[in-house]
Amino acid sequence: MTRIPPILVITFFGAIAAFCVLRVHFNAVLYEMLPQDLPEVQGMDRLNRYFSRDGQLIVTVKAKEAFEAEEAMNALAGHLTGHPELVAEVFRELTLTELVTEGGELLAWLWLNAPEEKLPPLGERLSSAGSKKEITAAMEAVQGGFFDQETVIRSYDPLGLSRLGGLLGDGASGPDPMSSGDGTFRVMYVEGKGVDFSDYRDAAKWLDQVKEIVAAWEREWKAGHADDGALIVGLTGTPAFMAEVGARMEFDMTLSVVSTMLLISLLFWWMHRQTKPLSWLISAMLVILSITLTIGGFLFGDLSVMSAGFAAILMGLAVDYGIVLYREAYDSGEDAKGLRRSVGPGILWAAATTAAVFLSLNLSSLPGLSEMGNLVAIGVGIGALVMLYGFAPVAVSFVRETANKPVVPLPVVRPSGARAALIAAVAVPILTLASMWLKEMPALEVNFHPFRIRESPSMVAWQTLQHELSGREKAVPTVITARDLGELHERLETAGERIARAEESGLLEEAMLPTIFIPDPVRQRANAPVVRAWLSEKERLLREIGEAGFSEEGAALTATAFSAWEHCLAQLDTAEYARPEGKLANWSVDRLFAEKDGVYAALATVKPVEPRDRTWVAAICDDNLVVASLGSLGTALNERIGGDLVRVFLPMLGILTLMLALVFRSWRDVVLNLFCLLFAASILILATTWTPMSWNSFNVCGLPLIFGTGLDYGIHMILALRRNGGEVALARTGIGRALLFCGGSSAIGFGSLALASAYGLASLGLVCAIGILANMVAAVWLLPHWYRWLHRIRL
Amino acid sequence: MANLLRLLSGALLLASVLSPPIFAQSSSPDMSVVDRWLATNTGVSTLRIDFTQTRRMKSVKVPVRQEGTLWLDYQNRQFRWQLGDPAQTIVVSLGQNVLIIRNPMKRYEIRQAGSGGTPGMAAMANGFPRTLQEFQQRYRVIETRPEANTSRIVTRPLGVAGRGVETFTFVVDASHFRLLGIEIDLEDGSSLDTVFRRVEPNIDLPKGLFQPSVDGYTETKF
Repeated sequence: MTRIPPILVITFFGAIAAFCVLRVHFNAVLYEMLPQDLPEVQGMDRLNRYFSRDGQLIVTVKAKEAFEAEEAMNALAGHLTGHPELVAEVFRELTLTELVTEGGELLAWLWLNAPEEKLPPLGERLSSAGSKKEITAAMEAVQGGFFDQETVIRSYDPLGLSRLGGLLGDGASGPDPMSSGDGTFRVMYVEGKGVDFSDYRDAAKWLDQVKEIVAAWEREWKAGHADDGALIVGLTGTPAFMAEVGARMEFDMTLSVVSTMLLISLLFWWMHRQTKPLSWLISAMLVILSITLTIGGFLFGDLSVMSAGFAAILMGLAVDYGIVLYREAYDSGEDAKGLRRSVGPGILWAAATTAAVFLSLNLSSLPGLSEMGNLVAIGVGIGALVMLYGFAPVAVSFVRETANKPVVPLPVVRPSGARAALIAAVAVPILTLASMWLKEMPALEVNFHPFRIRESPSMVAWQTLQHELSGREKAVPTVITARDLGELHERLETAGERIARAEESGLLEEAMLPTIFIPDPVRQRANAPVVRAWLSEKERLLREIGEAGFSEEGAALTATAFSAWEHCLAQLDTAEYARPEGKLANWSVDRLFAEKDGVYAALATVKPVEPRDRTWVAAICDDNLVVASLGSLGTALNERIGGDLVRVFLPMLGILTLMLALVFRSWRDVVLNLFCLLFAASILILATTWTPMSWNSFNVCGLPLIFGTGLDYGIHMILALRRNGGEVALARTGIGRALLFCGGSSAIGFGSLALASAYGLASLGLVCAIGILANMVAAVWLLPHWYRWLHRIRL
Repeated sequence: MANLLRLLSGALLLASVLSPPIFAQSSSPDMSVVDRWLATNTGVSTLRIDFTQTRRMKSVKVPVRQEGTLWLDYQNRQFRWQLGDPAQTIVVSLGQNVLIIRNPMKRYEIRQAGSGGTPGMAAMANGFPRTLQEFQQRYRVIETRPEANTSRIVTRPLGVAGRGVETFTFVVDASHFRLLGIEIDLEDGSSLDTVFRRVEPNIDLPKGLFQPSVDGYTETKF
């Protein structure tokens, strides 16, 4: 086995690992890694469940001038509809002509669904006494009024069907959802088809095809419009997010695993100068990864974005067991069985301890972190077994093969000066306190966005969309749910009262409740006789409109509305309630009302005065009203994680101190070990104070891992110092070298995550890497001198 | 309807076949006619234009032809536009708003300038550009078209004024390059042709011209 070329070994096991990575399916729904009991997270869940469409791509166009944007959007829409294999439908802002031909159906349905007391004004306009007066006034305005858009609309609506008398409420006067105020930014919805959009890999393939079509169109467009300003096309929405997040997670896992392997290999080479055992060590790690991924997939199903980082952490931890076995085989010359007897218990205990620390992440409120912790815990268990039963025999055979070769001198951990160690012990904490006092106290990042993904074109396009459609940045989707329509209307009323109070208290700027767009069977049946009476006047009214001088186009909206009323009344004979007729009307109602799995949902919008503050969330939310608020989510997570730290971390620290007391039975050693933790914490605080790094609700959860390794390294070093009477050089040669490799490999594993796409994961990796390196430096270079000083041992 | 428009514009369905881009891109338009027309505006501080306006609305069977007058005060950025003699409709600038008076109905409305888009009137109410720089900030020239006795400068208004407008054409005299009229084509197929019957630059404007009385009138929403 030892004669197989290393490249073949790595290729074989690498192929298996690659196969396992490809089989893993990631969950591209980011909010599922957050605490599910927060109203903000529930809001995102319900918004996604009832109102999100997996296959709906949002296309944005930004041009220098409004007409350029309009022309470009029209042309792009035409281009996309020319690909029926990929695009089912395209929705964009209608022209006035399209609006008046399509709008009648929706207007008719809104009147049927309106409160009874709102109907008389329209009834007056449609009556034989009022209609002529109304039509004449419209014609006068059209002929002699100020020629603006209002007048043009009036010319298509001589009976004022679109004068809804406040039915839409105040909130309806919000910004145009399809175009920026100056018209230079346009939005279009593209309904995809041909693939299963719930699978991000399928969505990615579909998106790639659409991107090619858009890119080809852009080239063509720019060639024909050289004089125009720059045109920017953005793609966002569910399929774009899913494809991007899924692909980035796969890339992150591959990148972090490969970079960790490479760096650990370099570290191994620096310390042992051998390639063959290295190839088998890497293969063992690949086997561990493959088994863990398979078990993880079986236990958890889809893995979250946070779990993408587990592989690198696992590599950094599992390699230590292989190193211990290899060194032991080298030093003792034992066979595999002997190795398992001598170092097996230690490895198993170490694995159990590490697994316990990672399992403690289950105490965190973040399901994403818990899942990652569980995967690492499973992985280190598998790692210990694979190394003991798979790698140990290989290590023994390598040692035997190289028995007669000259021994390669191992790198020496050079001692640092005692004075430098003591200066560091005083200077670092003082510097930290001064930094905290002069610059800033450690605090969780207020603006932390848990979903932020690096280099995300779809996120950039989404943010641009929110920015361009002025006022949308603060608009928060609010979902109200109920078990039947009657209950939904009751809850909308209650929600309206709460929202009104919040507006009065200055918590909300404004709100838009979709009540009029929610089918109301009671109102529809109550209004049916009135509408039936209007229908009997249809011929007269259309005749009067024509006689007044309006053309067929001018009467089209009115005629469509009457047809829609006929359709709705026919529906009421057979169904519980009438739904609007026509694509525009259905699309509009579906944006605000959903019926799924026996639940009825309405989509409202609120604009908080202070989006990050949670007072407004508490003021309006209950079990049936939740908000998809990213602004307050950061605050909610900080509150929750802050609570976790007090609830979990402090008691944990107390228990660990107690354990240290039992292990050492010496207050000096307990203080020394705790001081090492303080030293590492100081380094982290200095790093977050003086560099762009900051604490957030994700990376702060790495503190138990950092303190766990810090205690571990400290215990090993202090026990070694006790054994050899405080002999610094001796301790460094033995345990120091081991800690150097363990700390180095763990830091590499965590550090490789610094390049991860998810900011939360990247910041966690960076903080853990720095913390572990600080622990290692403190344990290997500083602790021995502090030990001698505290125990008053002189040279 | 404006509210409904905003609310629903996100829901609007596109016809499956879209019209091709409106303008075939030609070579760069001849701007000399624009320069020469703009030169006629130099030094103009006030203006009175008597015009005849023809509205061809797609929704109305018969075109409507009416006469009116526009007064412009460039220095104080004020305008008064009125149709009919005696005036049936008067529109004057009121800071950020416009005051619309309908004399036969004895009613008036104060509307935000530019609300709902004021494609035709906004362009006229803001006065005519007097320098090429000012012109290019407000219009993009699609083509300049010489005809028998006139030249047509076909443009697209830029910014908000361009919304809903297909083309905005300045008709100038081919020999003296004075503005003879304006033709506005809207997206819905409607059009507004304004022919200038008489143009008087730098005249004294009567006091109170831009502050018509609304005593005895009722505020309304037309």
